[in-house]
Amino acid sequence: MSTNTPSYPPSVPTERELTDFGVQRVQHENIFSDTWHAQHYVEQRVFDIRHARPPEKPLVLFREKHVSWLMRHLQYLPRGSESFDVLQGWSCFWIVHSLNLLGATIPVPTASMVVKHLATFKDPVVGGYGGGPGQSSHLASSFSVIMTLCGLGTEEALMSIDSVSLLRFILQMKQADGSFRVSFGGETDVRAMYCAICIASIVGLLKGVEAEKITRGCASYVKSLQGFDGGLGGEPGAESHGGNSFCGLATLVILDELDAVDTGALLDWAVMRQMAYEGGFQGRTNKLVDSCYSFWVGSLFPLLGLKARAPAGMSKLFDADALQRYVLECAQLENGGFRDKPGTSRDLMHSCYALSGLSIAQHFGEAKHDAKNEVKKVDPVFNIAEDKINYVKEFFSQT
Amino acid sequence: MFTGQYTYCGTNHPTVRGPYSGMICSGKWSSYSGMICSGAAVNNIVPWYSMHGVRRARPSAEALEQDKERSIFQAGLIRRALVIRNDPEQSVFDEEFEKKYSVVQRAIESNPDEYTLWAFRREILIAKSESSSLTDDEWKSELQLTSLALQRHPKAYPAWQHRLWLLSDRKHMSKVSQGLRDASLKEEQRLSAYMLSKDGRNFHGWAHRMRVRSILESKSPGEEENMWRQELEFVEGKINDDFANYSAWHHRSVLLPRIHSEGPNIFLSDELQFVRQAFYTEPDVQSAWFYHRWLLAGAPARGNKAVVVDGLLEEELAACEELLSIEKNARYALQTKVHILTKLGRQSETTEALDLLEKIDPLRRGYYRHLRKT
Repeated sequence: MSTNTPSYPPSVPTERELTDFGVQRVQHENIFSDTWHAQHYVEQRVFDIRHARPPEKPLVLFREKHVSWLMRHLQYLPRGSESFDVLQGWSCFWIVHSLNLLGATIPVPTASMVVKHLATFKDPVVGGYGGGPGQSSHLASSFSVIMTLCGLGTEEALMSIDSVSLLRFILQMKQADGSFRVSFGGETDVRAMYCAICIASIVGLLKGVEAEKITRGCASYVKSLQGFDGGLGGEPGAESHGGNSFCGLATLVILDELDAVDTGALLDWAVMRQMAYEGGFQGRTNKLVDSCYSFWVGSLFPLLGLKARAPAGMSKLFDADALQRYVLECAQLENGGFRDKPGTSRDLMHSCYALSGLSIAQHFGEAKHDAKNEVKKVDPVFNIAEDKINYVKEFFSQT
Repeated sequence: MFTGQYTYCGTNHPTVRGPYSGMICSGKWSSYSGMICSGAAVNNIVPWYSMHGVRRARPSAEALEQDKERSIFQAGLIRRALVIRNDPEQSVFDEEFEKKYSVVQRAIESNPDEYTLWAFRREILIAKSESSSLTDDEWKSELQLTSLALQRHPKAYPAWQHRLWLLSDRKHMSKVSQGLRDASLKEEQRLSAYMLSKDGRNFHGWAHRMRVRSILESKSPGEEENMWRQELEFVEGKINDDFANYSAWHHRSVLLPRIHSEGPNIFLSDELQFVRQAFYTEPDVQSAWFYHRWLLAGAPARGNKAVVVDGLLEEELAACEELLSIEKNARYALQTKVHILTKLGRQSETTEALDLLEKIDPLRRGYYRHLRKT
């Protein structure tokens, strides 16, 4: 592989760039490491895409293409279980949630098929769900299955949730210092805590007598995650990271303990994650843009807004139009699905979080959009379509 | 300081540029961690952007067919392994067990995300340990299994976790000879150093270093400061390799307050010099500026009181102004200037800088306006 830097459009910003975007791009001459090489390359690809599209053309959401791509994956699910993939519950969630945001209706027989398929992931001894049939219980898998069932929102789906066995599993994952493991002998980090608290909250366990056993020590654990730059890491002492910041902050929101962290510092950190040229978010300083952080970092703004006296002001602290533009222009693919960034392939995970991020930009930010490219409003704490979460909360408050 | 010895396997592999920076395969270099030549793995990692300008050949029908067969074969291995685990009649003491159990190793080598199988391996090791049939060799080969898995999948959570368990579990692994376990622990940082040389931002590698260090600390109380200083040398090496390695800066911010538990006075002025050198060399690299901001706040850390040094802020402001006189549009220098002026109570002087920032960093316009108001 040649070690020469690619000779490409001139490094001095052209007139058109300055008037369109007026933003500094990475200086060509400063490339001295892989980090810069990669960043420069991404900006070139984004530049290409932007200048291939006439500026008057509106940003389109290829709704039908996405829906049919996702529906094909949904139909394929039972056969897909031959692969023993650990992410089968996640695949279901990514598909169902994306379809909900796109406003598509999942036919009742299909929904029923998914519910029965997910039921095979149950671990009857321990409680909770594994990543697939025959796999041992895992908090993240359990979370993905519960959220899929809530996203389906049918009575059959919600009735299949056994809160007693979930409680049993969650309490077994709880550690002495207040944190949670993801599975027996598995790692301890804030993702596990978010999954546990989220499940507990949705299924009504945080109102019961066992609530204290679940929530004990959680706020102080999240507090210990805040780094020198204001972001939250995965475990005490770890580097600030977009996904973990979301998990930590959302946990505090559910527990109503937002004051446990320095929210001002976290806000400053989040603001700096938006990429000056690309418009999307990065997950950590000096890393590349990635469409999934559209949700992980984008949702930090409405969540922090829950504390601020002027929550509407939060929406102005990131550029929602730029985020929307990155998602629809660079992450979206014309034949359906979304990808991480130009140069990568589409996948279900990025489709889900790019759409969630788009929803944040449109409904919490002030991204200009019309009925044709609008997606449904997402609940930023649980990452589920708002019209679904209300029904679910009612259902579990009655049982 | 990492002083690992490399032996080459003798084959020439192309160096690969990218986030996994160009490395020639390093062969077996430690009889304890037993790292096996990963040349094949290095060959297969082609950074996604390296395809720029090169017409990517469509994979042939044969290649697709082979891929499909391979994944069916892998699925078969995993299914057999799960069946063995879920069989209640199975016992580790059965004659046929070892033969059947070998399928678990093959399944896990290429699928280290299968956390259920790692849990199964723990169950088997515990059963053997409790019946006093766990040998040193078995423990060593389990360790080698994790390093093989990690070389292929550097970010597999369950593989890192399993390795940590092997090294740290006192109750069940106590049957393994003390000498072997201690020697392995001493060498353990070489694994993370190796992984971080391939990808300096791999947070699993950094977390592993932290955890191994705390195990070593608990074994030799009184040696903590030495270990932290060694680690600081490693971190500094990583920063000097690449100022944009933010993970290294982050770990510096964790280590310094621990080493200097009396307070940041001791390291503050040296650190300011170090970071100033970094951002003078590369003013567009964000990392150093964020670290700088932490130093300006007095390097607060749990257990350490923030330090307020007279004249420090004015000095740093002067340094920013000097940089801005050469590079008018240095975005981070402008942000830092605004930040310092605000701290000094001189908000009225920030207008010009904020105007310029709104022009060159328009995505954060809303944030700069918010700063004007506060």
